[in-house]
Amino acid sequence: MVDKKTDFILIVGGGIAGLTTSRELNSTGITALVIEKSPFIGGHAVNITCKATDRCIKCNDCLVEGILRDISVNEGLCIRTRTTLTDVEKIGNRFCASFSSDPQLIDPGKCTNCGLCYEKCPGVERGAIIRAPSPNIHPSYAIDPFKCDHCRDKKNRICQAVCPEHAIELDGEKESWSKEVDGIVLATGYEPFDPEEIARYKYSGFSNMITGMDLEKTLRSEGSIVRTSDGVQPEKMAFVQCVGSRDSRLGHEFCSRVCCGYALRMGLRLVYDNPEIDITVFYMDIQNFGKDFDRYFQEARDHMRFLRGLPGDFYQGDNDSISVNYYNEDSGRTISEDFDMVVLSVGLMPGSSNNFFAETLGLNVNEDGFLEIKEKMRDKGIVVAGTTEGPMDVSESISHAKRAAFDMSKFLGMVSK
Amino acid sequence: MSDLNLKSADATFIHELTEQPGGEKVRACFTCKTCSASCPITAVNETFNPLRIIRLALYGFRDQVLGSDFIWLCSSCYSCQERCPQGVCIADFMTLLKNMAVKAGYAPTGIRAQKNLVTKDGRIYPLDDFDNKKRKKIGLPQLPTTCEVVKRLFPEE
Repeated sequence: MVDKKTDFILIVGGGIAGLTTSRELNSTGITALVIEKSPFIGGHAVNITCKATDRCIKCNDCLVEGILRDISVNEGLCIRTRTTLTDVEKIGNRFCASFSSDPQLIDPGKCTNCGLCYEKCPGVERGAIIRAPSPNIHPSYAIDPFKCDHCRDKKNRICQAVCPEHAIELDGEKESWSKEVDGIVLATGYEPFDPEEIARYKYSGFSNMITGMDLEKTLRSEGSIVRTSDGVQPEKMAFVQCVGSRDSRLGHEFCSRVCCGYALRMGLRLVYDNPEIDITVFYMDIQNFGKDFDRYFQEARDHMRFLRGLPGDFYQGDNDSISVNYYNEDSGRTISEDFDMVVLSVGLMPGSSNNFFAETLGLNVNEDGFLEIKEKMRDKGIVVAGTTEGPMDVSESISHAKRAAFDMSKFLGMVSK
Repeated sequence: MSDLNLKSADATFIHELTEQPGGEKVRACFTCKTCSASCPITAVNETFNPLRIIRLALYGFRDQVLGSDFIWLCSSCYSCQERCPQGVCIADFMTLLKNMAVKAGYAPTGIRAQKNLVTKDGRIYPLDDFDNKKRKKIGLPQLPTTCEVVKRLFPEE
């Protein structure tokens, strides 16, 4: 049995998987350090919207808030944002991890989330101070050093002057540090597919073409969706499935598992908000994940039009609409139809740091680009949590992270093997 | 094309196709219809549809595919091949079907006429003295009006 006090686990990635693992480990008395490269914890999952209509449709996306709340009240957790792992060395049974931290600028210990800095900052429009996507994230504000007047050309220290708690220090320096840890949990997550990689979608060419992730974010923050070009609510929308997934040309032969679910659920929510809306889903196969998915699919069929087959070309239509070419079964020809808005259901792609971990820790990257952990790596103190291992939704990520915490405590001898 | 009977299908057809260049990956097609949606011919002529041709070939309708007019409509623009998520070389597959159709004696009259012209003159648009006169006027070298060597490409039937 390892002495409890010396157990120290590094969790790379402050997304939903990393936070769940740290909460679980913490509840068994193991100290964990979570590092996160972005200014806020929560990862992608925190941008996902609740898709309830008149009742809960079990998208499980609210679980994120619960975990963030737990994290914010848990004193034993150590979280470092704006920090990246630069190197790992194996020393005996332990690891020596080196980090690089950008200045925090806002001291989480002093900040009370009053929001005065955000109110008074002259650069809010261009994003000098950003607000966290969830009120359960502490601190709820972060300064972007690349857009802040002071950090750029030593002007304007307004936020530092107005802060009643003196929590803001704009003259922070980048620091490099290292720490010895007993085990490493990799929870670096996924990256949403960039539709620019497929030229025929002309993603940057249309203002009214958005990705599924954009729609999630907008529905979460605004509650409804309007066209970017004129601010009018769309009357006719199209969802295009399998963007970036199941494409051997791009080397992504896997199914991303979440896109059918989020497209159908967001479609149902849009129909509930505006029963007049006309939604078309272009798909190649609707993938059923989850035990009551089929029921939503049946319900969605009553409210949306499902066309089997992916569209070909996209052209600019009248009034900033998007003209979509697709194969029409009835006429046997390719026809063109105008949509006010097109949503590309982008898939979950392997994280960019997977190769780095594969090299530094001697892990395997599978043919899809996700990390593969063999049983023997778990015995050496390296486990993977969440979408680092493959595409999964929020609830799957959470259960996978709990499994990772279990594996880690097994490695530390907390549970009998 | 409406009354197809699987009893008339030939199960060996697909094996024959996958063994030849252009047909290797045709079995990977999962009917996402990207090819049909991208096809400029399908937009104007409903008899041509890359997806349907692939399905017919996979089911083994040898005579219906090779004997049809529609395989000759492909303009080889490669839009389908560029976009196929399964990496099926659809345009190359159409070329393969055309070659097999000719071997099976299904070449349409237009293609036969072209072949006869090429065998005779070495070109589809023959050159004559009039063209050479014009070339001489603008200082271009003379070209032979016949091209005997091409005949060797087409042995006598």
